[in-house]
Amino acid sequence: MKTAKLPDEFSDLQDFVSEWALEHRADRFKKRYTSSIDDIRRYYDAIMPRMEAIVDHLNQFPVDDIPEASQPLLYMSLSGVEISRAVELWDAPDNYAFPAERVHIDQ
Amino acid sequence: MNKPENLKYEEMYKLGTEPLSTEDCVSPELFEQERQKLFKRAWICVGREGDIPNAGDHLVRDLDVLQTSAIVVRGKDNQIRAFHNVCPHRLNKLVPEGEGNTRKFMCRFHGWTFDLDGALSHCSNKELFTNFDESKFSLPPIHADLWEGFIFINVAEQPKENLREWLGDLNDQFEGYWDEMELRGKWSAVVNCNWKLYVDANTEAYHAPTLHSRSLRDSFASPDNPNCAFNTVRLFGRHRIGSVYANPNYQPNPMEELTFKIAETPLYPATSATTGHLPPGVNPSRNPAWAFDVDVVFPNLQFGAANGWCLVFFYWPLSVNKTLFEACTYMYKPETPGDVISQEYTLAHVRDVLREDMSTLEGTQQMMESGVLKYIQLCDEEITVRHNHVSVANFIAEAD
Repeated sequence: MKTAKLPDEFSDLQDFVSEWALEHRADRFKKRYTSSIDDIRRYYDAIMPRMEAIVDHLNQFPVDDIPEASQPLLYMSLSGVEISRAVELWDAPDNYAFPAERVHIDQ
Repeated sequence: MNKPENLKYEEMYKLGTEPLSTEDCVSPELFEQERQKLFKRAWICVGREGDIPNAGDHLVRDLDVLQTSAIVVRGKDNQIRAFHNVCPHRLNKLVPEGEGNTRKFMCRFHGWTFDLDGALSHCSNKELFTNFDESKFSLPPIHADLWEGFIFINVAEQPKENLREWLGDLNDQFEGYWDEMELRGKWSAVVNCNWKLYVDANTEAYHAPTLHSRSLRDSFASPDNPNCAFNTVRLFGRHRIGSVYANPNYQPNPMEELTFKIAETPLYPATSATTGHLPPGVNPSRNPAWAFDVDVVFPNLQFGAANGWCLVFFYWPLSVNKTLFEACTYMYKPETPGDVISQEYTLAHVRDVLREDMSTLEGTQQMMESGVLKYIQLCDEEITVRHNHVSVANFIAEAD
């Protein structure tokens, strides 16, 4: 995956772009349940304190016209949302549930 | 009406109190009866009008339970029609699969071509056929009708009830509810269980404090309502609306709290349910301590109707012990990127909570099939489960 350069004010998150700036929900879901809880926690600890700043930054733009340089921040925050429950609720990459790999994310 | 404090749903609705037989979840013969006497005579939802917005837009639904494949298409006159997906020449499946846009349907076997209204428009070398009467070779139609933007079909030659009659008193309960919403997420899975077991699991709330203890914590239970008793259960003939309680004192976890804060559109759970603008069938008791409703449009369509978002479930029986489940989430169009992010929490969270519901299904089916025990026990808060099985059984009995 090509690694985009984040806007300067978010350079602290640059190292996470290649792994977590995932455009598609199916990829974010799979990334969570195939990651170790340690990797998930490392990302959570980085993204969680920055979520509000990211939202403030993205909210400058119309929802359907986010500049290319800022799009990875949207995908990274969506990944943050996806993995948050692993840290906050389950202390594991997935909950005790129907096997994730048997769920097909169509959209 | 709401249930009076000291009355049981069982007493209100008189559906019986006895244990229910597992027979209708394990017997291939009963499944075949459901196929012939229920599904082939029922109005079955196959999608939303918005799935095929333009003339020529069509979708193919392979419907094992109806033993056919259907094409649903929007015509040049904007009418939505449905046809059996078969070329009347040598009975080839006309459109192999999927969805798309077309001006005509052409069979790839010999090139017979059909207009969007099903009429045969072209047949090469028709002089080779003896006594060829092309008016006899339209696509076989399926009855189709619309309700609140949902497309329903009925494969019976002459349905006993039209769609309005089929829905009965449910007709006016959701007026305009989905008008502003759009499809924001969809996922599916094939689960090895009977379709009714699946409906059961998604339409009672007695399990929520236990099965979902880690994911939902105390969002559905409180000292006032420790077992997540329904706010109300309303039966509309064969259909049902169960309204699920939410703990007004629930403290969201950090990411959830953040998404509530940044959202312009309402989220899950509906901790600040404003109900004034909702149609009568959504949060019917108008209880502010409300999460969402579990509604079944008989037999196999379910809504998880909330304030500003709605789950739509399709249960597609594949066999007595196999079901294709499709879960769609409709939400308001996001107004800001922050909205997209907050909606994502609801989408991801609800999916994984539903996967917890699904975690019991194959084990239950397995043990039902073992035959060790042949009855399930239902409490009053599982009236929706009883109503599911009783409604199916009654419909089949009356069909004879």
